[in-house]
Amino acid sequence: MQFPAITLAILLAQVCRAEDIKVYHVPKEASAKAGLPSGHPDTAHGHGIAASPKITYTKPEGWTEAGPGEMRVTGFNISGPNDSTAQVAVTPLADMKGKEPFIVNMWRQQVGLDELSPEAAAKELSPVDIGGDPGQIFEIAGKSPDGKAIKIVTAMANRGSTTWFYKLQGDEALVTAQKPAFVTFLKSVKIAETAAPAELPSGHPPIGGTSSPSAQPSAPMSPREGGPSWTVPAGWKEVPGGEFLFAKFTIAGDGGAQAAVNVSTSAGDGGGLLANVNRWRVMQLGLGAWSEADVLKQSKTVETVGGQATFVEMSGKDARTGQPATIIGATTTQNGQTWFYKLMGDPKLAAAQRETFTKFVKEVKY
Amino acid sequence: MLEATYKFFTSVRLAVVLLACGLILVFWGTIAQVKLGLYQAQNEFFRSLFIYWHPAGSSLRIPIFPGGYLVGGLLLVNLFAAHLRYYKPGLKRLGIAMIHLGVVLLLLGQFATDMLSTESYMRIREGSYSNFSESNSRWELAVVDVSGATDDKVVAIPESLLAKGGELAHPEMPFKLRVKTYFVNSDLRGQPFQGFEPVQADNSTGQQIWWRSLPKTTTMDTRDVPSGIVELIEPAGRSQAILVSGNLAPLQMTAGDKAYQLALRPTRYYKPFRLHLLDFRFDRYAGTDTPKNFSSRVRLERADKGEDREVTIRMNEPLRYAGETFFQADWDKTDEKGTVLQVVDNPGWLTPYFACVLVAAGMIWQFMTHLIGFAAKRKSP
Repeated sequence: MQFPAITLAILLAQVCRAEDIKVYHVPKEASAKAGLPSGHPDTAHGHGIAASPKITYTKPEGWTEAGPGEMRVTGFNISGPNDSTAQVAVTPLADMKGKEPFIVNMWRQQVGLDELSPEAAAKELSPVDIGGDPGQIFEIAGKSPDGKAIKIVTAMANRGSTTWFYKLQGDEALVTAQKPAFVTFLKSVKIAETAAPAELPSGHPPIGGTSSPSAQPSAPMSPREGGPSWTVPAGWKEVPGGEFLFAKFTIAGDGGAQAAVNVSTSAGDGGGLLANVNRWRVMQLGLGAWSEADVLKQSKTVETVGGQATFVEMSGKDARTGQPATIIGATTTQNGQTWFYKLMGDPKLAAAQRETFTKFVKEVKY
Repeated sequence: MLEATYKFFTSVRLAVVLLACGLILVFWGTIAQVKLGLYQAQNEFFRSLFIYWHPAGSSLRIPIFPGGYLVGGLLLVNLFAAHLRYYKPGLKRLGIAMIHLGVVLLLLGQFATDMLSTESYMRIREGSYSNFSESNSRWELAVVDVSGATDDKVVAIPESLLAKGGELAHPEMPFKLRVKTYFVNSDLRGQPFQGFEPVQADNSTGQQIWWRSLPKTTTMDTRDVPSGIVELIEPAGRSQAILVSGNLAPLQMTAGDKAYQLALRPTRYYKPFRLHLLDFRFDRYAGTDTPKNFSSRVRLERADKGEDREVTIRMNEPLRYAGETFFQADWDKTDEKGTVLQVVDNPGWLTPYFACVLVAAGMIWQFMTHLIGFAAKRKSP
């Protein structure tokens, strides 16, 4: 009789115990979070790195530790006169060796400059000492999206299959003033062990690379029982789409360009064309919302095997990667069910795939 | 009066009524999951003293039916009281006592599971590791001091305190927090939409954000994403209103000469070991997409005990370690190179087994006693 009474008392005490603030220490390397499945609500927290390598350095005067971030292993904040600011990030990335011209052009795009040819981009690089290892450095000045004069100084060095990036970015005058300190910092860096490199965020197109469309023969298929049937166009590769997608295809273009076609369905009108188009515009391309009149003006109706489909096209920047992106969307209602087809990816690749995508949607049999 | 109360609590009628209530409760709670979702239905029907009716347009809560805790609690009292009243010690009735003790253990075990167990998820990509799991339903505001050379110091404020609002202080925090707004579920947008309001916060996320509060989610395939505005009050009295959200990356900030991160994130449960995902396998039957097996080959590394071994976790072969059970639960569907392990910490997990053994042994004892008695009678002339 005593045992249950004591147990009950313990349990009741547990019930009455209020949750409280907890304090604990975790090893620094544990702060870097293991990757999350794409689509998980927590992906906004960013993909971490597999292991924090033991990086040591001499911190220049006036720099404040910012700690590890989404992809970086460490970072610093710098404050200058007139509220100017700059940041330093140290990030290891895999499989970047030999893609230096691409990196140069990536940062040029970020500050609103035109791309250079690979040869011209390679000429922007000059040698630099990074912890005793030979590295390369380049700097780019331009404007931020809000018109502010900014500068980026990037140094990189290869260690095995990993390339370590050191990026100083911020207000132009402050970055110029801090460059000598940055170079001194680079010399002081020591990496004790090679860590598993950071992965690109989910959905980030591979940087560089020479993948080309695969020449797979077209194959009719019905991806799920009871669903529509279609012919998968050449060069499209079906991949698992997760629980919210009916089907998903990826398309690889020249120069590492990538696009994806998502097929989803919803009962009824699926929230309506306006809401879905604006979801694509605002949440995925960072564009302003359209009014109903805009949608009517910008969309076109196409005859399909199953009736009609409404197509709409828009271009902006991929909210997840910041890279230019185009969405070609189509919706059609069949037997009280609305089907959404979305081609999203590199603008040139999307334009090249426009006709194929339209044909695909037109020929789906429900 | 006392005698009447005693009789009431020891009556078989009460046991029958309570068992009937239990049946209704299970049926009703199961049906209610369609509308309320699993977690809310569990809380409202089974983890409660009463089921309440909320008249439309009113904040009243009117109890209309006993909840799981009341039915279970009364059954427990009834069982004890009846035992006290009717039980006569002796080998002949030992079986009855064992059966009753088994049922008591079952009830207490379930109560202990409700109170003490935690369920969380560990997500690992191939080639990387994790030493923490995350809750799917609980959130915390983490103030992380990242200025240490080897360790990060985490001050974790549970969501329940944020939802109450008001001021929060802790000696390990470099500032006080005043919760100005807290939405248990929310939607954030980068553009104005009907029903959305501009967020009035000082932290520069680089753009204006609009938000709206959402009701708690009721489906199993979505989860709440809370957001709120917390005012950080420095010792000098300066303050700034900061938007925190489960949909935003951690905010990097400095206080004094230290760097901090502020993140509203799923509640984390850190482990004294780590699991390194070596390989995730999703085997299908040849020539089809029909799943055959999911498995994760992990390396379990625990420095303080010198452990370093490989374990394969399969769908029906969980890893039991350090009081927790790691089940193969899900995987990264983008490329099948990541695993999701469900981590269950249930101190009372053995009680149902003990309870069932006790009940079975009691029934065997009781049956054998009667059988032997009956056989003996038949033998005697």
